[in-house]
Amino acid sequence: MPGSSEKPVTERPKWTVTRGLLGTSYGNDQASPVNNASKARNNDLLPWAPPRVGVPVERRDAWEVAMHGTYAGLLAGVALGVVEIAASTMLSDNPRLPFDFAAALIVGPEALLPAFPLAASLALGIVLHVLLSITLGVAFLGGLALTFQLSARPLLMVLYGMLFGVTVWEINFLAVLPVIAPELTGRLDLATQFWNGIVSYSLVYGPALAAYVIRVRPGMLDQWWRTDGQAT
Amino acid sequence: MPPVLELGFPLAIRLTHAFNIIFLTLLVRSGIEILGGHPMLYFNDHCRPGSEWIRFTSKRMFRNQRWTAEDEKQPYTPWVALPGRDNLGLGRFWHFVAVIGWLVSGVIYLLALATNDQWQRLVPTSLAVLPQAWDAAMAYLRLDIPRAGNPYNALQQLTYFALIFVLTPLQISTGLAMSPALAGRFPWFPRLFGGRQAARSLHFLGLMAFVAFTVHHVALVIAHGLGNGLAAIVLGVEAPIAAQRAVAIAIAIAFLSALTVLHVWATRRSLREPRTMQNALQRVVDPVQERLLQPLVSRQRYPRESITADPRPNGRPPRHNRYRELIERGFDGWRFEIGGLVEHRLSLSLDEMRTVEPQRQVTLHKCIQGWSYVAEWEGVPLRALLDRCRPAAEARYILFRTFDDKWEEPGHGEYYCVIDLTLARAPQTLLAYDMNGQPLPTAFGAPLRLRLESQLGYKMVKWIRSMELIDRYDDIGAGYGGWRADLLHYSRLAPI
Repeated sequence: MPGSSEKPVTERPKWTVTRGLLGTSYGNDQASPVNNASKARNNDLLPWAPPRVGVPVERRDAWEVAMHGTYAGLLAGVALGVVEIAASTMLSDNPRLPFDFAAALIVGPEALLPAFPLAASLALGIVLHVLLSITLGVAFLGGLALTFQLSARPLLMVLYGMLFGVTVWEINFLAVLPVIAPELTGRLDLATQFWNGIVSYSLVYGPALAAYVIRVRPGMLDQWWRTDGQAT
Repeated sequence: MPPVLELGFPLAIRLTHAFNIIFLTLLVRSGIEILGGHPMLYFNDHCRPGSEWIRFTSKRMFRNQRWTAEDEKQPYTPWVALPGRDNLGLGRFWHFVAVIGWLVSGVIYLLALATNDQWQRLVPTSLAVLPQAWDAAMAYLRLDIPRAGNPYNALQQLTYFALIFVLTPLQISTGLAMSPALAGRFPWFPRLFGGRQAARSLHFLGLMAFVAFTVHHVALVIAHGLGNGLAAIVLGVEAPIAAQRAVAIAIAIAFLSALTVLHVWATRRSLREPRTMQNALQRVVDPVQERLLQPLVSRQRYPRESITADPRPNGRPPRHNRYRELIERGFDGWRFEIGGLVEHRLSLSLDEMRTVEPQRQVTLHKCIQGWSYVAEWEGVPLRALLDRCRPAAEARYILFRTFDDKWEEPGHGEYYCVIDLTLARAPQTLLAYDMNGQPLPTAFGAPLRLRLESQLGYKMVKWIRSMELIDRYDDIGAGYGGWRADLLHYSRLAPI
C-alpha cells in the first residue's frame, strides 16, 4: 500500500540545527539548503496530498500580534531611549535632550528651555516615547504577519527591522513633525540628529524589534525549510 | 551662478503624473496577485524547494505526500491583490494592461521632457550636483528643509533621475527577461540579470523600490509643504495663493477618491464577472503580445550540466481507467491520432513515433506561476508530422486533446489546448517522449507532451491523446482556445 511509507508526525527525524552569525545551517538530510520536498513530489509511491494544502508554518492571530508587538515595541523603545540618552550625553552633555524634545512635541518649544521642569519633561517624554514605541512595534509585527514574514530568515528579519526604522524616522520627523510642530524643525544640530535620529532608528530601534521576533518567533508554527509532516 | 529656471509644470507633465499614479497602483496590486501564483523568489533557475531567498506564504510542502506546484499557490486577499483569491489569469491581464498604459504615459512624459526645457528638471548637468546632494541630505538629517534648487534641490534631482532613468528601465527589462518568447529568442538577455529567476527577484525588488520611493516622496512633499506641492503638480502654479492651495487639495482628494473607486470596481468586477473582465482586458493585451512577442522563435541551448535534479511537476496525472491501463501496459496499444483538416490522417504508436528522426534540446521550462527548471527533451519535431499529414489550406490551428481529466477539479472537463500553426512549425516545437534521457515520467506527461519553448508551461500539454487541425476554436469548450483560458481566464497566447 503506497500510504504505508508515510511516517507519523511524531516520528520525524531528528534535526541538527546549528545557528551561526550569518544564519542557520541544518544537519541530517537537510545538509544542503535544498530540502527533500524535491524528491517527494516526484515519488510515484507516495500518496497525493489534498489539493492546495500544505503544512502551515505561520498562524495569524490578531491578539498574539498585538501582544508580541507590545513587548517588542517596549524592548525596542527602551533600547532606543538608552542609545539616545547616551548619544545626547556624549554629543551635547545634555542627557535630558531626548525627553525635552519629546515633551516639546506636546507642550511646544518652551520644553527645550533649561527652565522647563525636569519631572514634566521626563513624564511627557517617557509617555510619548513608550506609546509610540508600542504602536510602531504592533505595526511592525502586523506587517510581518500580513506578509507571511514571521518565519523569515534571521538576516532578512534584521533587514526588515532596519528598513522599518528608517521609514519610521523619515515619516515621523520629515513628514509628521513639520505638520504638527513646525517650530521644532531645524532645532537640533546635525550630529545629535544624525545619531539620535536616523542611526538610532535604523540601527537600534528597528533591529531590536527584529531581534525580538527572531528570538520569540510569535505566530510561527514550524520552520518552512523543513518539508516533512502531515496535512492538517 | 546659472540662471534661475522657471519651468513650471506643463499640462502634459501634470497629466502623466496623474496617470502614473493610476497605473503604478494597478501594477503593484496585480503584481502581488501574480506573486501569489508562486510566492517564492530565487536567484537560481532550478527553483528547488528551500533554495528560495524569500517567500510570502503561510505553508510549506510535504515530504511524505506527493504534491505539485499548483498546491504551492497562496491566495492573497482582494484588499491587497488585484483581483485576489487566486486569480492568476486576471491578475496577469490587469498587470499587462497597466504596463501598456504606464509605458504609453511614460513615453508621453519623456516627450514632454525632451521637447522643451523640462529635462533640466531631472538631468544633472554638472558634477557639482554630488556635493550639493550631500548638503541637501545633511539638511534633511537636521530636520531642516534644504535650499530650493533650480528648481529641485540636488538630492531630489538625483533621486528623480535614478527613478526615471535607472529604476524604470530596470523594471521594464527585468519584466521582459521573464518572457519565454524573448528569452527563447535571445537567451543572453535574462543572463544579463543572472537568469530568469534573478530577473524575477530584481523585478520584485524594483516594485518594492517604487513603493519605498512613493512613501518617501509623499513624506518629503509633506515636509516641503503639501499645499504648495499640490498646487504645483495639480494646477501648475508655483507660488500659489491660499485659494489655489485649497483648490489643489480638493482636486487631489477627489482624484484619490476616484482612484479608490477604480480599484474597488476593478476588484469586485473581476471577482464577480471574471469572464466579462477577461474579454475586455484581453482585447487590449492579446493584440500587443501577438504582434510583439508571439512571432519570436526560440533558439535556446542549455548545456546538459545545467539540467535540474528533481524538477517541479505541475498538475496531477490523469486518474481514469483508460490511462491507468495504458500505464500498466507500458503504453502498449496507445496510438497518437492526427486528424481534422488534413490530407492524410495518421495514427502512430510510440514505437512508430520513435522511428521519425528525433530532435533533442536542453531548454528552460518556464511556468506561468513563476518557477522554472532546465531539462532535456527528446521527441518528434511537430513540423515533421505536419509534413506527413499535410494540413488543408484552411487549417490555422492545432487542437491537442489529452487524457487529463482534471480529477482534482471535478466537472471541469478534459484538458485541451489550441496553438497556432505557425508556432507548431517553429524549430524547437516538439512532441517529446523522453525527458533527461529517460521515457517521459507520468508526472511530466507520459506518453507524450508538447514542447513550445517560446511559451509558458501551460501551453505545453501533457498526457496527449490526439491532435486535430482546425480552422477555428470558438466552438470548442468555452471558445477561448484552451482549458486554462476557458476556466481560469488565462490568455490563449503565452509568450510572456
